[in-house]
Amino acid sequence: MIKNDSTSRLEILFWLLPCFLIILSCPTVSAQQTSRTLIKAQTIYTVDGTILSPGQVLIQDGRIAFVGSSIELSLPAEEVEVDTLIPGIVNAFSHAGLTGVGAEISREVTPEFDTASTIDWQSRDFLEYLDQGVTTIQVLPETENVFAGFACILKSAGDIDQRLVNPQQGVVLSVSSDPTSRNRSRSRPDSIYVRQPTNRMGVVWIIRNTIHQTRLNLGNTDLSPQALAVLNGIVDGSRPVISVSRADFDIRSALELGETNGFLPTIYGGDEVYRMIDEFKNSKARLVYTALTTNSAGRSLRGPEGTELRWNVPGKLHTAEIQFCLAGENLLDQAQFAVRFGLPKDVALEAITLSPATILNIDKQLGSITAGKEADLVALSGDPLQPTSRVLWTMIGGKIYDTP
Amino acid sequence: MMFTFKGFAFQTLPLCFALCWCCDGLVAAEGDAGGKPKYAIQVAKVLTSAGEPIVNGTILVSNGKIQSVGKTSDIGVPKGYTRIVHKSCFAMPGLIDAHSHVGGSGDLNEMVYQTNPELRNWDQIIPHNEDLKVAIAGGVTTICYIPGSGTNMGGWGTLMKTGPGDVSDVIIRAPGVLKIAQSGNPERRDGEVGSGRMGMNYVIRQQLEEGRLYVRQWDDFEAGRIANQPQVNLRLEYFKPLFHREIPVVVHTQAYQVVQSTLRILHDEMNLKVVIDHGTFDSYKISDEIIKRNIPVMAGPRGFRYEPDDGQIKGIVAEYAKRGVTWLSVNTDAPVIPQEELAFQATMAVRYGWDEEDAVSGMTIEAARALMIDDRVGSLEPGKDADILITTGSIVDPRNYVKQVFIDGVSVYDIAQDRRRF
Repeated sequence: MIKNDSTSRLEILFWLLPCFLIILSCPTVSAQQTSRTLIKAQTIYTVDGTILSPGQVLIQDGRIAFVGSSIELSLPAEEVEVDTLIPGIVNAFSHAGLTGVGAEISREVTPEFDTASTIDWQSRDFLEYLDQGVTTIQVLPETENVFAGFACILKSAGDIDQRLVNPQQGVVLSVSSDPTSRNRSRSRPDSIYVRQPTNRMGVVWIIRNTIHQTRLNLGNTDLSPQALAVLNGIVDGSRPVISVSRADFDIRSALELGETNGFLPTIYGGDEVYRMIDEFKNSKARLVYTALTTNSAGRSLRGPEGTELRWNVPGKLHTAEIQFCLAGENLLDQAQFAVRFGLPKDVALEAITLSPATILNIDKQLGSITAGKEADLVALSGDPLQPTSRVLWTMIGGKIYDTP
Repeated sequence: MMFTFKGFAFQTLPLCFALCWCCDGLVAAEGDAGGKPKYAIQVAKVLTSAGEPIVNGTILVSNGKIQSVGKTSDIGVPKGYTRIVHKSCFAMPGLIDAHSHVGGSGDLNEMVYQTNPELRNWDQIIPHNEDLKVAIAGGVTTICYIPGSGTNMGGWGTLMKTGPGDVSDVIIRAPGVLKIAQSGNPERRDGEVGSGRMGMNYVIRQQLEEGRLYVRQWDDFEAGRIANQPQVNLRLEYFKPLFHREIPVVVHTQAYQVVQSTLRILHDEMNLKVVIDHGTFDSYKISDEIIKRNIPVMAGPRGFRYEPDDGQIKGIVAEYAKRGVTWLSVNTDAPVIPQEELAFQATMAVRYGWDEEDAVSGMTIEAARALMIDDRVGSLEPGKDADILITTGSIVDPRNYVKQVFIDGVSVYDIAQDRRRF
């Protein structure tokens, strides 16, 4: 039980004065900034260790001010009643809002390119995410070249200049066969597509060679100083490396390349990680798992690889104490499905909120309903992991976005 | 004397195992060597590929290795060994395929450049994959998994077991071999230098010269002949074991003229350990030169040739054998011929006149020697990996089949429990 909000007169003045000034200059914005909202919920899944039933959250200036079973207000606040409240969902793997060709297809090593510069902020992708309760998204470049560029982290809605959480989160490496898709060996020799890699071995080689050249400081003239700076960041371990890898040998190659060259990649994709759970655990790498199917047919695979093995990957990851999150589309559905096949309920909810926030290194300000964090919340009509529940609204930075 | 020896062995063995167990403590946590079962495998006949067959023989297996091989009456069943009896069956070493593409991803060719010494395929191994599971049913326990022949130098291949385990368990050696392809497939008739046969020979020579120079520089530095350390060039690094003759080059080469250029360029000029890894069409006609240089021929997958001179269909392996080539075996080039049909390749070679016992040693010890892994596999001798087949009789008789397979001392296929697959 939290009894607080005993703001002194002096403090009220302190708050009111600038607000008053802002009201004079820009009334709409100020109205938001001074807004206080008290959300009364039947149940609050805070995802920082407690479930409050009932519970209340006080939002002030876009942040979570207090969380408790009941809050006594000393200042007026707009009151909203809902059934269930969970933290805003964080999707660590998306191409939402990415415009144009999502990869630099003329060359393989473009680590300095950034997705943030090509985001269409009014893309309908974001509306869909709002409907699903997704408030924070990491946008990755497409993986058609080997060093694809920076991923960026952004909010699904809000003022454009505040939506970008981190423009240069991690460097995306495509340790997979994806970069071979366009390249050709037998074509017009002047085509940009006549180049390595046309094959997976070539992908591994380009990574090995690029890092080797960077280490030796061989002054590869093809690369800009900006690119070399990013590559040096990978080599000295200061740049997070995102490796998009799905097949078991792709994951293994990514880990091996990291081990040989002094960095620990976070694996994105991980479709076949169930074949190498122990090996993955020993690597201490983290996994952004995007391969959970939410229906019974595991693609065209038959036998256990098409059913139990794939359905229960999150359960296996959890049992092995691998740090992972679920990512991709329909995350609430994914969490429900994971629970059905063996993931504990609390872990499932964490796997779409706090876990991705932790992996993206934004858990100080996002990922759970905790005082001091940003007010990104999702209101539901009931238990978040029941298929009968629906999203009522999504809140980002204290502002409610009604779903259709 | 014998008795004393036995007594010594029995007293010290448990101690040895205890020591092994302790030493392996850290490793054993991952469930390898230390915990492997001990077997006394008793059969009607043991084909060791290391001397005469043993009638009514026993193979003792411990710790994944062959401990001893001999007459059952001499060996018996020592304490602590599980007896496995296959009455009226043969035991023989696991088969080795010197040319396979099914050890992992089938993405085999990086085709932009004609020579690709920067590529390696052990990053894409899939241990015990579906193809390999079937291969085991055909008796294949070791493969030489190599890049394709889309370019003159496809990259570095891996010598690996077909059985279960993680990547480090199944690899025998990486880099295992270099893959070179002369003529035929890499002949592109367009694009870069090397579009025709002369160009390809030029390109192969140039690339090997570059590699040899690099290795020489490092050798000179390491021997103290030059002071400055050469720069590491990842692209040329794996040429070191090649030019030190620690690993061979397996060559996609077929037809008389091409094999002749293989002998000249790769053996005579470059002084490499060479394996002729097709040797089909009329290549057998150059047997004299092959014998002179003591080069192994892993023939196939094409097994026959129509000889226009006499209108006869010849068995290629038999033609080599007829001309005196003894370092000889077959290959499948899987998936060109399914991996499990290696023994069938040999069976058809025998059908055309290859000696039956030579076929057995060909697919085992001769292939192991060619790939330079005969310290580990290829024969049933103490100290070698316990890769053992139990067959209903001669493997090169198509009426026979594989009953049980051991890889590294572990039963990985047993028709008594699994269904018979082949």
